[in-house]
Amino acid sequence: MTGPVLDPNLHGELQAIGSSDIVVGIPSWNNAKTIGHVVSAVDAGLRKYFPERRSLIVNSDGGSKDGTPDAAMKAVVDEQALLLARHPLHPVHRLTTLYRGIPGKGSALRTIFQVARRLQAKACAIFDSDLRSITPEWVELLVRPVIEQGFDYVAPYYLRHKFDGTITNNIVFPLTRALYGRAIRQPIGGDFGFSGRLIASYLEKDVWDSDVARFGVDIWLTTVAVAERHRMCQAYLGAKVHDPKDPGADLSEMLMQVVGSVFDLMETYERAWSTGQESESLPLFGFHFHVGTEPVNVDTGRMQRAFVLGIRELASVYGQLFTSNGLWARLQQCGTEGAERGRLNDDLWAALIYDFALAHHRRVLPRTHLLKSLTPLYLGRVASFVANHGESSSDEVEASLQELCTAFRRLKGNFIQRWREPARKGGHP
Amino acid sequence: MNQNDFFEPIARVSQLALRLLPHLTASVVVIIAGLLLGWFVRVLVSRLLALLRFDLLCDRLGISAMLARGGLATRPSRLTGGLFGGIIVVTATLLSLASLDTDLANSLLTRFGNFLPTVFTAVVIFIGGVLAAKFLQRGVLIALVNAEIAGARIVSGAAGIGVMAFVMAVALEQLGIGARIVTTAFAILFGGVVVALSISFGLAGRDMARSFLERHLAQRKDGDSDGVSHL
Repeated sequence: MTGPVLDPNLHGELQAIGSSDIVVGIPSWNNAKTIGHVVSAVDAGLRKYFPERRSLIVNSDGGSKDGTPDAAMKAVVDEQALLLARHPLHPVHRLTTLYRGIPGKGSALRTIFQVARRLQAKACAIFDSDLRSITPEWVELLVRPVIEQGFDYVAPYYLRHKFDGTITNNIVFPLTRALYGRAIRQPIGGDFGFSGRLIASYLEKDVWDSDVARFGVDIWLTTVAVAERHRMCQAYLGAKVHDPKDPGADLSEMLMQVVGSVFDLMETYERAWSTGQESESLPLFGFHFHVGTEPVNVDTGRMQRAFVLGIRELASVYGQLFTSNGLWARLQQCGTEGAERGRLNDDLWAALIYDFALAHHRRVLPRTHLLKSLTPLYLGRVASFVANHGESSSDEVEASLQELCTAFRRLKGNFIQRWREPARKGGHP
Repeated sequence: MNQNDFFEPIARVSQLALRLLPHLTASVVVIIAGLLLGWFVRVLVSRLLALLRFDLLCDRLGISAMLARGGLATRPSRLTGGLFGGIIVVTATLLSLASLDTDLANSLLTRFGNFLPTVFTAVVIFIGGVLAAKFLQRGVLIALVNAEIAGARIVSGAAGIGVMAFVMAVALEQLGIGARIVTTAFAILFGGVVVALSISFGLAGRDMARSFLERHLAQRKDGDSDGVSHL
């Protein structure tokens, strides 16, 4: 849907700018502490790596109360420190605007995309405003493959702590890879590069009033690109360090939006994933280097308690949705013995996620109930994962994630078969 | 006792029987025809819907699962066929009553006709209430488990029973069955339970409530209390 979402005050500014080769968008909401650094890094990156291009930085803000837009507009760049080989031919424009629509990152991105399309941008990159580890090179890595190599979508490839991004590692990455056959390591990374063509395609979709407008937007951007066979690559950005997320953000709400978006997209792109592609790796740009990541102290005790409580109290719910043979019995056994002893293994976890996808497809339960009931099981899986990899190196954890992807791939054929079958009456374990 | 005294009642009954016989016959014929037609419509509609893949559509829309959850483990095509057949049979029964053309039958029919919308409304309220109670009960259960609160099943069960009690009171009031008593009983029961819970929790659970709130607020302050960044 291409409805008007731009602030009317913005039209004059855009008219004055005329056109822009590169648009970099920074969605924000109360990020005054960090956005200055992000804008400075992006500005420096545009000057240093694209001096001959017209470029614009757009801050799409959700009504911050802490002066985020001001901090974005006032962020300074020390040109001398950049050691520029060529002086920029054009100034790097900046503007800030309030986005419209449902509060969330998706609505902010929609505004950025509208601006990019209006200015006929060849490439557009987006960066989260809470980043602490962004450098000017990130701009080059996400934009150059689009401008010079003709890629439509550039995904980030970060080094993260082995226990960071657990929804990505345990659900979104292996499931997306198994379904669509492309190994995108950070499908919901938050920082991406897009071509003008792909942006036009995004804006045509009628999704901006759904979960996509909130936490679900990152996986939506990736899935549309992968399912519609756009040219894709990854860029190695190094470590990702960002401010802690909003403490008030509810895990089950977050999980519901992300996983719900993945499941919804499975309905939309059934033809794309049900034909059973082989897994294919994507070109990876950037110089691979090792960096230390911030330590993460994980409290598995709480997760373990949540898992056991879920298995005990939600038996009536789980009994309705698990259709894989013996899955529910094995989960109950885990609930008795404790997930952290490594019982919630890859095969069990992959079967569980597929059963949830199937229950979502067959509407066995109301959508919110189904997706929110995943929370205790997810916490059990994370507790299990942490217990299994407490002493493992990052490389060993990466290798184990490849095994998880294999488990998802192995069960995919059976899943497709069951997806196509009509619902079995009372087909419970 | 003369001869007339003996034969007059018999003649009257015979006349009445003769007068009613055509109506009675018509009534029986209508019922039999209704039963036959109902059976035929049931089979026809079921098979037609099955041919049109109605069951698959219901599976896709989640209607089959909803029926199964409500204890109706029949294919939606058969259920719909049965519904159509049932409507034919009920209509035939009403027609057969009308064809008797007696004061009692007419009065019954009028009262039934007047009562029908009320019954329909009460049934709709009841079905809607059952679904709402189930939805609320499950929603509360999942929310409490996700908040890691023990005894979630008891609390959610109580919430479901509360909604059902309310629904029953509304449905019975709609039917006019002891309207005042039901409403008053519900108000007393509901108010009593709320007051009893407030007092018992206030007196016995003060410390528990304080500790729960402190723990909850501390968790929010610390962010993801398990230390993991999930996204």
